Amino acid sequence: MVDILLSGTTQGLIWAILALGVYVSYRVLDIADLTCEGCITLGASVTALLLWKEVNPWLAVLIAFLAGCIAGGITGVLHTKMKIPPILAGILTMISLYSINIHIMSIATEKQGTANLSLLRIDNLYTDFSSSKLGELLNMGKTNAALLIGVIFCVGIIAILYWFFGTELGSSIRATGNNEKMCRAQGIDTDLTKIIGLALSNGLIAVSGALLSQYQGYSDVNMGVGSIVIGLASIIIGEAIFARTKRFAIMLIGIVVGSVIYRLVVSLVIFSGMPSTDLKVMTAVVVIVALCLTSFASKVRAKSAKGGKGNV
Amino acid sequence: MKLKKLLTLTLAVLLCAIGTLTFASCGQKAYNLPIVCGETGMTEVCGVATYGVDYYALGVKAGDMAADILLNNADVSTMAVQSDPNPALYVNEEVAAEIGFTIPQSVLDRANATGTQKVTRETSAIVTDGADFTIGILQLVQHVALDQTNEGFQDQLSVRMKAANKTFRVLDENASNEQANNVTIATGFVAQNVDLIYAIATSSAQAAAEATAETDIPVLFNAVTNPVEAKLVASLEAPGANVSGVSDINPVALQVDLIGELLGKDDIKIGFLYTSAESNSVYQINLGIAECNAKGYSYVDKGIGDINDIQSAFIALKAEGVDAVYIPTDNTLANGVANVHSLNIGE
Repeated sequence: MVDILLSGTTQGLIWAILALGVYVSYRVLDIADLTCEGCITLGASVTALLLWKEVNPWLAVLIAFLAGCIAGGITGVLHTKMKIPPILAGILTMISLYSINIHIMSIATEKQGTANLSLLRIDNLYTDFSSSKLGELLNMGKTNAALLIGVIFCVGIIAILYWFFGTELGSSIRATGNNEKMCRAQGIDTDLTKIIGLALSNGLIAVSGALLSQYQGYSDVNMGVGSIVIGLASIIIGEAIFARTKRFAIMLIGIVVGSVIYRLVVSLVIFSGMPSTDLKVMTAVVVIVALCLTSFASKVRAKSAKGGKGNV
Repeated sequence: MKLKKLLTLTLAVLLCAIGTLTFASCGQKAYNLPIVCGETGMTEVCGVATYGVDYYALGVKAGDMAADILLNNADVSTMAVQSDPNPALYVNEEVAAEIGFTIPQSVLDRANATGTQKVTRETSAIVTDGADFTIGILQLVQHVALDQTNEGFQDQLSVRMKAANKTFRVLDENASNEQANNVTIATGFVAQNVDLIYAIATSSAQAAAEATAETDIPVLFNAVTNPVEAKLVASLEAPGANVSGVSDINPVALQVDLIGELLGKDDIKIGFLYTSAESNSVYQINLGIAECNAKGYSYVDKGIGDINDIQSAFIALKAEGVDAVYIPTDNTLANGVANVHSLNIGE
């Protein structure tokens, strides 16, 4: 049981990076960006290709991030410069990425039409870490290394996001999501802030794909299916838990917690012994119940606060 | 005045349409080439005969491998990857009649004799408590063919377990086509320390192989077309690690042989029609060419870029003077088989 929870947590941390990326577009910029489903596969495919070419895994993750930034930037340009509605712009990038991802994976195998690139028995971030001096010192297997690397990435990314959204550029991106017209009145180039925001969002999503491909041992052109739902569910669970906070850093931590909870719920549903066909509906039910409970709890809190102080 | 104009216009359009149609049907001649496809679904539309992979039989094959591992301590790293031992011969007399091709009686006779042989499941061998072995089944998605490999596996394993007086528990999980669940299920099986993982479809098998990399839990896969390319095994004969299983590759060599049998002579020229961008198709064509070389058949291969190239590729094959056409299991051509058929019968 502990092992199931540990592996669920590890996966939750990897998916949390995606959720943080979705948070940047969906909450900070207030844009529903569907590039996500193609972008996580892009990150995975780029990483898989680079690992086949024996590039250092850390460098591969960085290049995957840049690839994701480019994809997000394209969505941004389609939306801002060509005036395509954001949902459609995201869909257009997503469907193009399907072909592009196949092309990327085909470079590795030198065969056209490669839809699945295996990473089995190829050195990756986790094996590198567990066989490194530090890994040996801590006596870590692949599972624990994956957990530790997940924590390192999440903490690092939260710190960077917290810093970045405090800078002038970051603040103007946040302001764009809050009130675009007001921003333009203040002289902010909102097209640019949107493009940068979307690039950052998809860069993070690609990093999630990069870690995921190494953890699961392959990149597959269909692996992004359903990822936007996972991202949104993580954000909403996180927001429900930390409903009262207005602090940005706590909010970001809440998303990571939300992602881990979502993954644990799926693990528990899978191994609770119910028929496998009911997996999706049961996952939805558990999330709905969690949301109802938290909204019920906050109502009760609000009521007692009102009764106690008389005026809120 | 307006009405007259309208009538004239309509008449002109109609005449044009009739003219074009007549011209087209004159220009369109029937090719009447016997076609053998990689799978039965495509053969139903345009082929005269083929060997179809029986996914239930593939499951039974995997069930036997699992029993050998669990009951006889067979070493999975030395178990060769299996394929359908006895693919079913399927003939399509309707298409044969349409193109005016006579299927030899010897082929017709064999086609009638085969069919799916189901194994009767020994339900008493499958228990939920106190089982001798726990089997984790990881299936990618609810799908008829994949369901059959799952059913055949459990049926055959139950028979073997019953014979050995043992019992087993099945953790039957389905990722519901969400690949994130592949990892969750695979790592969950490892956490529960199952005795064997049976993974159905390529990405599920890869997730299971990765999750068991640091353990000695044997993994058997099924419905994987090319296990070597998927890096599941080092080679088909000697997998080399804790992973082996059953491939669902269609019996290309048998299908090429079938063309020779259908034509009733050895001096033949086979045209291969496939999509060059699909790696599985290229893989099958290479197997087909190897068989042609072994049998001394001559061949021409025509790769198409997309579905719009079918007509020109078909005409080119005819111009090369092929006696029959082989189409592998190919996603693009699966969508274009109706087109192939209407070209072939000259409609």
